[in-house]
Amino acid sequence: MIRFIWENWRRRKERLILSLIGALIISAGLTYLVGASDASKGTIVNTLQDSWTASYDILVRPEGSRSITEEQGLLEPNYLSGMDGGISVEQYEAVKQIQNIEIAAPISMIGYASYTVNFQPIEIEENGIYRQRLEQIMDNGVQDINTTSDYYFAYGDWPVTEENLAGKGSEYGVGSTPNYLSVYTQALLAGVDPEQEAKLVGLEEAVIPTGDSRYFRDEDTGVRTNDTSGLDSIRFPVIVSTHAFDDKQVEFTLERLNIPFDEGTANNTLEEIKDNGGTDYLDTFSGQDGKHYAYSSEEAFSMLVNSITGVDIETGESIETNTVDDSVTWMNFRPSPLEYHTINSPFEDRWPFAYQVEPFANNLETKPDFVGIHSFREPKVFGEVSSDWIRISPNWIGFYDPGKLDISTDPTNELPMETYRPATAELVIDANNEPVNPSVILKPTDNPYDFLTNPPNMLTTIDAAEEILGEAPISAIRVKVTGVTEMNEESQAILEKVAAEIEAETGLITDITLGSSPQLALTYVPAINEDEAIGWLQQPWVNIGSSISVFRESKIGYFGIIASVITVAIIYVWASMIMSLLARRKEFAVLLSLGWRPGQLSKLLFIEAGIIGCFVAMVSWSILGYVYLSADVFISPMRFLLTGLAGLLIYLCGAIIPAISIRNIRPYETIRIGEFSKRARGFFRTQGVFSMAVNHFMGKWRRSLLSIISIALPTGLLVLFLHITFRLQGIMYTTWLGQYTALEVSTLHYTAMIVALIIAIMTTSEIMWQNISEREQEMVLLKAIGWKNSSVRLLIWSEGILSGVFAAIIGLAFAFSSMWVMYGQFPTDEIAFILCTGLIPVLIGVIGTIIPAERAVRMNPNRGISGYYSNKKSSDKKLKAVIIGALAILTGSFIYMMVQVIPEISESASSNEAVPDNEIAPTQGELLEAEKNEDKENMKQEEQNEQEENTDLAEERYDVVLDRDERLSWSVVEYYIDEVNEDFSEDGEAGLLEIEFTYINKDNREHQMNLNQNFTIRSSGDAFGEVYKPIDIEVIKKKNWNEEEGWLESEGEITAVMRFEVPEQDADYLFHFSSYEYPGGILFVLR
Amino acid sequence: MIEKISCCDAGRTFQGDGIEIPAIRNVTQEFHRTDFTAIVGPSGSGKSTLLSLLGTLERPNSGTILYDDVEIIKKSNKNLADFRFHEIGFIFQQFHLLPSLTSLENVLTPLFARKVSYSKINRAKEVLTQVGLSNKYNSLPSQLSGGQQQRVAIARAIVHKPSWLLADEPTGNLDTETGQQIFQLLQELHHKEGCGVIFVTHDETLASKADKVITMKDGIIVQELSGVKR
Repeated sequence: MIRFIWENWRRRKERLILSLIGALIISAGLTYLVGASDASKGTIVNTLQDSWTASYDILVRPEGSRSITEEQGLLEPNYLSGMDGGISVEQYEAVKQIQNIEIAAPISMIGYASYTVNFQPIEIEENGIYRQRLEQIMDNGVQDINTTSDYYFAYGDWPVTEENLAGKGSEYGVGSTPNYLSVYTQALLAGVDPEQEAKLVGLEEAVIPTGDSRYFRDEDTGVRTNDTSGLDSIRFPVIVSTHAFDDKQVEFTLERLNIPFDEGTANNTLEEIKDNGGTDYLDTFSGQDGKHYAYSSEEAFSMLVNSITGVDIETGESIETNTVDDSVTWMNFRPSPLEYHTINSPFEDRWPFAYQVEPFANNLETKPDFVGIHSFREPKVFGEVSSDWIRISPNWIGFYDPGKLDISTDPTNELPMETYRPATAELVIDANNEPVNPSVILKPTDNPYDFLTNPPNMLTTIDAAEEILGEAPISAIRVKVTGVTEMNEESQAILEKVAAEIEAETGLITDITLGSSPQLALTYVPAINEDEAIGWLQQPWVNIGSSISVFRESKIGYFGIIASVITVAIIYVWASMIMSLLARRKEFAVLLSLGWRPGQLSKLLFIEAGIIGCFVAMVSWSILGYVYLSADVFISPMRFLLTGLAGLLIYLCGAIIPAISIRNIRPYETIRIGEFSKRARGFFRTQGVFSMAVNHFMGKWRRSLLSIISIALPTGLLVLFLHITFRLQGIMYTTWLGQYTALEVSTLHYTAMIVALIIAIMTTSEIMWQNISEREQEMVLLKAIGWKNSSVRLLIWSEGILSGVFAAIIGLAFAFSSMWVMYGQFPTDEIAFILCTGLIPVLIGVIGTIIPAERAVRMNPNRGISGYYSNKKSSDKKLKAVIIGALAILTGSFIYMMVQVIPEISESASSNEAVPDNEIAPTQGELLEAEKNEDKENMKQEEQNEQEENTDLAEERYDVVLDRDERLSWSVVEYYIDEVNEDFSEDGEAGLLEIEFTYINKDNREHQMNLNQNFTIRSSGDAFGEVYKPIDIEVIKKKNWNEEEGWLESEGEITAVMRFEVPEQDADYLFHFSSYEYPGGILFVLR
Repeated sequence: MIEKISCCDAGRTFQGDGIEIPAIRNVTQEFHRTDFTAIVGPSGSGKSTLLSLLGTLERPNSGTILYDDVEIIKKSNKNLADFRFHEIGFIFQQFHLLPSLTSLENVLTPLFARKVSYSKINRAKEVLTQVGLSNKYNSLPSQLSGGQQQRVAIARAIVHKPSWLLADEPTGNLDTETGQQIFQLLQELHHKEGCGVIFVTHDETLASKADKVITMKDGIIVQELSGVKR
């Protein structure tokens, strides 16, 4: 039988090649899709996984701790720092008891311990009143926050304090001499369960083995004792972070005031000071013999750590107590959360969500010294009076390096974990609504009530926390669940179960963080007190559960897409086999009459299908193999096997219906001459080409239906997937992760649909080809009786169009009903667009009929009379050769494309490249504040006007175009013209232009500043003007300018005068500056 | 070996465009293997239909057809196919050779899916030689003349040694001389192989050479002449 099939194929090479091309397209398409979906699925799972494996699965918090922002499913990045307890140790134990919980790591944000950090012993000899000026320069990355405080003290070589200062209050403005130059600061203390924390983030491994440094042991507990001063204090072990996240320089200036002060004059002077207004009076005095002490942020931090621990941070050795105060200290301040309200996003396209921090108005009487009238967080205290404060005695046992923890540090996929890192915030738009490029990272400060706060400096145990805070010390519990190793439905189900159990057992609230994704949102940090507003910060908020929805939706996508392409392919195989069956119907009838069993005919079809299926499998495998060898991409054996088997299966499935219908062939048909059509008469009276086409189309309704379905299915799916893609973009583009996957998914969708549509074209073509073959005599007759070629073509095309129109109707109906079933709604927004896709099937119908129509046109009228068959169809052969050639090229290029594409997919699967930001699709955030908006509108308007004014000149050739007295004032640069002088001869011809300018580099890196090369005068803004170089340069002021290299360092500044020789007095000259930083150039219009 | 085919009140109608077209009606007739039978009659008289009923290509709507008193037609399609393979050889007016196969392969087609006790190839060559085409084994149908094609068709019909040869206007598409040769070939086979031959023809001359001539008109047998000898 195989021999029979082989002979049959061998003698009908054209047909064989056609089906092979079909097979090639199917196999190549399949290889791509199975491969791509595999890769994309991997991508999604991997990417999603990255975003959560590093942290925890469930976050347990006390009831009532949800903030307003969580209504939109967004968790603020600072959410851990603001929480101060609410969960009892009993509740924590209950959580631990729940089955399947692998890790339950509690965290307790206890409070801020006050430290006096001693920098330098004060050594003075001369009697007098001294001013100790303390300057603290806190660099938060965006701005320097300087705080200066003066302290006046009296020094004398007699007991000044006892004799002169006793009983005198602050109205005298003078205190006694301190021992040290010191700074009063706050360090955050947090409690963790050492064992659980070690399991969750590897805290134990992060402990640095300097000196006696070690991790917690079982015997390390908090105890309440009576300390030396007779007060109740709590002594507990701490491990201390060795990493400074803030950047604070400390400078002291010590100077003696020019005011008489010795044993005799002391009291008089003090009275004089009091009478003149105390410190205000002292402020007016200038100092003498000033001594300056400056400490870098590293030094300042070491001093802090030394003060906390009594141990040297570098060596781990115990430090002499002279720089360390008593280890007992007070703790009064408690962590507190930020308050946000939602506002309009200035760039909704890019950041759909925007919030403004709501500053808290402090009570001036009770506020802590280190906050101003307003603070970003409400200061919370343990008590108003010192007896309510907590006396603590942290006992240093070790150092840990937060950088060594086993937590994700990739900002694109981290879930904010504030226990060890401050929340990420990037300044992207400054307070003047100017974009900040490159963006600036905002650093936290040591102010507990600032916008960004430091992560804990000290960690202790939960029982110490309980000892300090009492009843409910735990702020949150981070839970990891057994058996959750991969991001999928099962994991989600397990987590939901565990979360429900936690809620039921403890009454706490839970959030499943698995399947969450970072979501960029803008936070506006307004101006408070005298500080400047920071501006708009981009922060990764946590979009709870977004990933799992992405995962779910895209999973539908994968299954749907593969299933539908396979369906379309099966229909193609089915149609193609039925057509081949029809073409050979008489042959089969003859075989039956010769004594073949019907079952043998079915078997024949299956063997044929099997052989082509095997061919498809082989091709797929060789493509994969080639890709594997040439692109060095790993292909999983499963994927390999699956791809080939899918091809085989498609063909075998496609053969089922033809194999059944072959049994309906009756041997009698051999004897029958001519065709019996049960539908001999048409639906309409045949009056012209089109009605003839309609009637024929209706007459062969089964066949027509087949081609309609084969076109309608991919069309319907295309429409459906377009919709899903739109929808997915809606969901996905709101998160980083989503954008990434959406790109992958939509490419996959479109490719799949294109493959399906190509297959649909082939199906239609195949069917029409067969129709034409069967009607050869009719066609020839029509031509014999004088039909023009164009009419014949029109006839065939009409049938194609009919198929297309019906397919469009059915496809759209299918798509819309699917949407209705899936989402319960019709896509009203995109309906016009979707309806337009209805044109695709019509097009396909026509394309599919082009080749058959040409075949019909080329039929030779003189053959119409004879009923003989003949193998000599030379003209036909030529035509076929052309088609085959074209299709071969098509297939070849397709395969080439595949080879190019598959490695890319796999590559992209393994890399976590950031997605171009311009791909973001907006979603609606809730809007509140209106006034800001107006400003913004105005500002935008102004900007626009400004731009319009300058566009004539700019023509987009320059980075910036400014008027002479304008100033370029960006966050990274300040550049302006101070003065312009002209010196022209009387006739107005030839003269000097003298320009004085200033350029200040505010960037954190150097800028090019080569005075000889960077500056020119131009006679016109276009490319045709004259260019004049400076003839003389005079540097007036310079700071951090490297003349040789031509660099202006960070913080550098230069003011220079340049002279240019220009020919005409009346011309409009332009002062042009261009550099590496501003390659387009900055242009000043001088007149 | 089926010795006798008996039609008993056999009738067959076809479903036309809304009306039933009776092809043959109430045919009662016996055919013997020893006879060389011709069926004649005008177009549409039901000759071909009768032949296909006899060859089990078609089932009668009414009446029975017995093959040595067995009503084969009631059996499954598979059994019918087996029956045809063993007992019946068909020859068609349009020859119905498979265009993609050579003469030899065409002759082999009935044997493709069957197990036989003899060498298939040798048997095929033998019958091709028998019909005088020993030099055309590897020719495609398109490379053969009409007469040669019909010879291949005859070779194919006898390759599996059927007891009956049913021919539907075997000479209809051939010129008179070639027709004569084909007819002679059939007669030869009738005598040498002992096949029962039933052939439908328009050609009165050829029909007159048969042992038995059945004349049909409007689906019924109007005349049966036997004993017409050459």
